Amino acid sequence: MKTLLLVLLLSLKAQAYPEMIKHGYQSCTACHFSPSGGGILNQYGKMISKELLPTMNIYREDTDEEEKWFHIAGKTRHLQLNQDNDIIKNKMFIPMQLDLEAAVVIKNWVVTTTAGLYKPRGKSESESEPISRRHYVMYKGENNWNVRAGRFYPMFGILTPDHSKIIKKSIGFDQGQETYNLEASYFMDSYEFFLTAITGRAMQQDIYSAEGYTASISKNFGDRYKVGLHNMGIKDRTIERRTTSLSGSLGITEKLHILSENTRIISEAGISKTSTWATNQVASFEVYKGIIPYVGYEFERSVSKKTLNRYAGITLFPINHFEFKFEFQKREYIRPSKMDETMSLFQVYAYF
Amino acid sequence: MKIFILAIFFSVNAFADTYKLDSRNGEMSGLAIGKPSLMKIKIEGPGPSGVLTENQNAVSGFLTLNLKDLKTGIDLRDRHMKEKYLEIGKFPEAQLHLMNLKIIDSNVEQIFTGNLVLKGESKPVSGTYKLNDGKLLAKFTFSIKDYPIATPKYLGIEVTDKVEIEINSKITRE
Repeated sequence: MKTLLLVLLLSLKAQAYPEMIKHGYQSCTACHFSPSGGGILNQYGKMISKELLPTMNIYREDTDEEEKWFHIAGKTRHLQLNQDNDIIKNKMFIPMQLDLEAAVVIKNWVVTTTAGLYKPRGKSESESEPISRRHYVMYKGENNWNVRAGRFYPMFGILTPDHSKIIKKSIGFDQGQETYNLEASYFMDSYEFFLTAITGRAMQQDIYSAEGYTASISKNFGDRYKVGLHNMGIKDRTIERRTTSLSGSLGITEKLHILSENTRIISEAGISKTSTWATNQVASFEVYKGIIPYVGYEFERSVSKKTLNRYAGITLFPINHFEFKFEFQKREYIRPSKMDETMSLFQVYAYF
Repeated sequence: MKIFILAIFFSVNAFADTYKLDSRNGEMSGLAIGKPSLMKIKIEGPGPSGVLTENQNAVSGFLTLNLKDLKTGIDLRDRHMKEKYLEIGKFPEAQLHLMNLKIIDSNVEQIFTGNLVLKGESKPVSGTYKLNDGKLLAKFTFSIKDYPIATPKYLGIEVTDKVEIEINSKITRE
């Protein structure tokens, strides 16, 4: 039996929980400084994450209800990677991330940056380089609009941290693919608008130049449903890609959540034109506070490539600010060559 | 003569229809918006209780809502809502006073006006209601600023002024 115990969440994307829509949080900005979600939590987000996520809330601090001007958070992620298939037999424990992230809030201005180490592929731990994966300056307008500039993933689809998912790789949101952006966002009672100018890739510039845009509109339905339509055009050195995605974050009940991403990518390189469909559907159900099993299905399909991935897992929030994730994936590569693969992953995620 | 008039008065009231609502047979929900993130804060609790009396084809009376049973889904928020803003220790109930309602069990939406008493302050409210197969569905909106309630806010999130209320309750004629 081919077994690949793999934890691929090497992405250092910020953790984001679209499942919070079950509790009426249709917009990421309630809990995160970043309008598109993820990254350092604001003061409200820290309090709410203690209230809503963990099975055991081990400390209940009731704050002085005054907003702080300085915020600092730490994030550590570790994974167990075991590979065992016809090609690779490998087991390893990988300390993935130990980053600090700070935010300074002065009136309507927010400045955030992360600081950590990055190990380029093919190099050893000792060759890790200092890196700020994400940093930006943002102005928060009085009437629910924001402008920010800096390095981050542009708003497109649902910014979950699972870059191991096929769909994330398809749209170019893999590890280290943050871009330099200028973003404007505007929030209405039922709508969210994002417009982002992408001015270049932060890393791997020799491969990708990445200039383009994303445009995103989302609509809230009721108090627990959100549907988004997203468009992205990116021109790299040799490839031009236009990507359209329809996403849904559906809090069916206070326990049941469905996340849906459906993407079409048209890539043009010279006279060659390729159309790729990628979709990811995942349903999670909170059986008990902080215990959330889920099942999912995704595929990517083009003329030259076809991959299916069925997966199931469980996310645990045993105590405040600790997350454990176990996932089992069964992948079926149909094109260009046929191969079956099973994977399982284990991720520990902690933040403060 | 006076005795005769009193006798007629009491006899009329003795035969007046009454409509009863029991908190155990209904539910109340409220929706408030938190800004700037536009979060939806859903408030849920048992329905109101009370008796409405029909007189000359119009129904009047008041309904009482027990505020201590309200929940928003977050313990901390419940605590703030009840203790800091609604002060349920002093004001454990809200009342909706209704006058001259037409009770027609026809699933036709009608308009009502009444007074909502919250934290000891009575302010007029209006909304819609309909009755279908013995079930009452009523909706109205009130303004927090109409009452002696400080604007609810917490760590940068501020609740907007309007709160939408919906009542789903079984109504029994007696």
